[in-house]
Amino acid sequence: MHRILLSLFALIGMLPFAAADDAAALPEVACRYEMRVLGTAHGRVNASRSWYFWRTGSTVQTRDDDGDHGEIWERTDKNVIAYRKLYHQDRTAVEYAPADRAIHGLDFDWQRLASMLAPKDLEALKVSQRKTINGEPAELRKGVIGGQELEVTWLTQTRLPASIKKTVQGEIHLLELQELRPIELAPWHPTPIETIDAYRQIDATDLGDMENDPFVKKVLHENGHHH
Amino acid sequence: MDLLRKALPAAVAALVTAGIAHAADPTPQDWFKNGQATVKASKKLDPVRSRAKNVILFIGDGMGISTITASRIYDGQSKGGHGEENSLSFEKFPYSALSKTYSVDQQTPDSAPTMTAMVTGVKTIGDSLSVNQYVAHSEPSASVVSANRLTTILEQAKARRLSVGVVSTARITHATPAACYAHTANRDWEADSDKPDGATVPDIAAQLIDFNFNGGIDVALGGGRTRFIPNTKLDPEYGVKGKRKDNRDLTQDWLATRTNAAYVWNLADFHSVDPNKVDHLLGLFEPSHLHYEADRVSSDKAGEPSLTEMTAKAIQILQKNGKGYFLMVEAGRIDHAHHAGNAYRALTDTQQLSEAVQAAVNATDPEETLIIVTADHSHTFTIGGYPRRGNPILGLIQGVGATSPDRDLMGLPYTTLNYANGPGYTGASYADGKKANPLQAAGPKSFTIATAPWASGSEGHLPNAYDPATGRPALTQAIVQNSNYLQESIIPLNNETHAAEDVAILATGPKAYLFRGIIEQNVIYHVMAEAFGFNH
Repeated sequence: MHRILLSLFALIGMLPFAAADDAAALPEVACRYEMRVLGTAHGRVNASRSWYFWRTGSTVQTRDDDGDHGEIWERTDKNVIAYRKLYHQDRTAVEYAPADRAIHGLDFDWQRLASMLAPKDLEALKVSQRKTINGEPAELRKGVIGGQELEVTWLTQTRLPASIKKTVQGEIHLLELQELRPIELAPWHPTPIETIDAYRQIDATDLGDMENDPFVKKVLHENGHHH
Repeated sequence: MDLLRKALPAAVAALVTAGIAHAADPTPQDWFKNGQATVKASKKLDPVRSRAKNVILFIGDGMGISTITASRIYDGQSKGGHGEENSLSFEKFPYSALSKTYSVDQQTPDSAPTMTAMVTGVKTIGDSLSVNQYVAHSEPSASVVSANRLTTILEQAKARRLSVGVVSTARITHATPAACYAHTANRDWEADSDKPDGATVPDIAAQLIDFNFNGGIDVALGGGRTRFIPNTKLDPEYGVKGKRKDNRDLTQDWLATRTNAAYVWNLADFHSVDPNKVDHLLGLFEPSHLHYEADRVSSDKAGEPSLTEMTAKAIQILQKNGKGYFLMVEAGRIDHAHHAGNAYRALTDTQQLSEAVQAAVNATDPEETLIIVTADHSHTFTIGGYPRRGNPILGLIQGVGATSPDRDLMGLPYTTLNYANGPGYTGASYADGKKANPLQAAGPKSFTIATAPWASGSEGHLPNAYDPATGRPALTQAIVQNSNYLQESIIPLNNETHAAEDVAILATGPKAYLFRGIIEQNVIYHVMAEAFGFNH
């Protein structure tokens, strides 16, 4: 938490709130997170990377700090979550059609996407400390979910984690919020939907039949990005 | 109609299996008599030498011979039998051949040139749809494509005022159905937004709708809805945007340019279509491909018809034309399940194809309808080991007389079904080439949905890298018979690949006897043309 730069947290009360019919209204925010993998012995950083997160009432978009890879989830008026992986440099979006969710092992929950943690998982963690981070109430929650020990600092108004810490195979995976801003005031912007829609669209199911496609050849061997 | 002749094709196959299918322990005499009866029936087989009024071409996309065998066993076991003695509907057809599937430039082909060969009589290069081999890949010029177009059997049928239809569980603009009506040097140009700027060759969806001489295509049922609606309009089922940039709503164009036309996108509307009143039916039941049969009923939001239901409806509409019809039916998702390394869904989709073929047999007269079942290409899908009779086809191998699963030389059990390559490789898998994002640990792979906290739900099993496998996993029946299990593969790939061996052709009806031996895939067209009398 000491590294979190929540310079604009004071603006939290000014944030526009995203409409949500199945959850409390969520503020529309732009975030920069840092993910670090630490060795437990000496706190050595084994891996580190930053990525961006944007949340509106109907979309969640992420982008790696390389500017190339991203993901977008869009909640439609039919309450369906459309999902695409984004390859900005190639101006290509790989979409995962609803009919193929099972075979792609995909399953989306809007509350979990928009807050990074499902309410039931959050509730399973016990509040061990209450504090204020840059004027916003926060809770330190700890517990075990699915056999995994988790420590979450939860921003109760923004409804996003300020940090998540878990131990995986002897390494500490630490996700930390670096910056949080109202989406319209952030200096970094999500890629407009119109721009994404103008990308080449590929159905992920078709990748197996596109073995000679230059983009497919490239991404099948170098890409993939998850937060 | 000669009832004896009608009975014969079915009788031949029935005799192959009769007395075995439902007898747990056939006697030696049973085996001998049944074999003998098969020969007697074959001797009485009288080829239908007259012309065909109708031709129905069924394609199991990626349905190699091992897929047929495994599906036969799966289907038989689903019905309570041992499985091996079972026959899928089309295995009962009296005539068969093997098809050499290579294309002009591919040893192992894709679906575009293979289907082009089957519906035009001419082999071409990879990714090309019903244009000859002299058109460069992704040729953008409409005039160049037009100058090198190959006339399809569907177009020839329509020119003679027969009715024509295409049915698929894939997008109706996907390579196999598209080769029947579209001409382009890039199979992926399905909507105008898929084409590069400046390309003047029409997109595939537009070609389907704008193919309008003699009333155009009469029946088109499948997926791919968003390729037909403009990006200013939302999909009625999911609310996603259409993919057309040209602002055309091709579903409305279908209705506007055809008489007695209907467009449906859900199961209820599909069932409400009266084939006696509708002459032109467009049904688009998903934004992209339809569901796998295994997922169709449980997972589809608005409901969609099965391949069998679509086939039956198509025949009901097409058969109103006294001149006859040509119908192509594709089980398009067998291929996708194999690419994903999941045998279960490949087998259940093949099982559904068998039912669709049976529906066609039931709805037609074998004296006047040529029915062909084949595949465009195979997959690297194998059936191995020495399982005992009746061993669950998706299960671990247990040999004759064994009381526990057979073991390999490391002391580990293994399955009958495997892939030579694909995502079922058993090393630890990662989402990225840098191996920063682990997916599944070393061991068996499956379509496991990530449920851990901090998972977005988009993790799935979409590997882009693997660790080398060390040894093999300790498989259990519970693991391998799960519908989401990915059979082991030797070579780690994101997607399992096509395979180059020959595929089967099975046929019944007029001119079906012309299928014999090991033939080039483009011969299929020439048999259909001969059956229709187009060569005379």
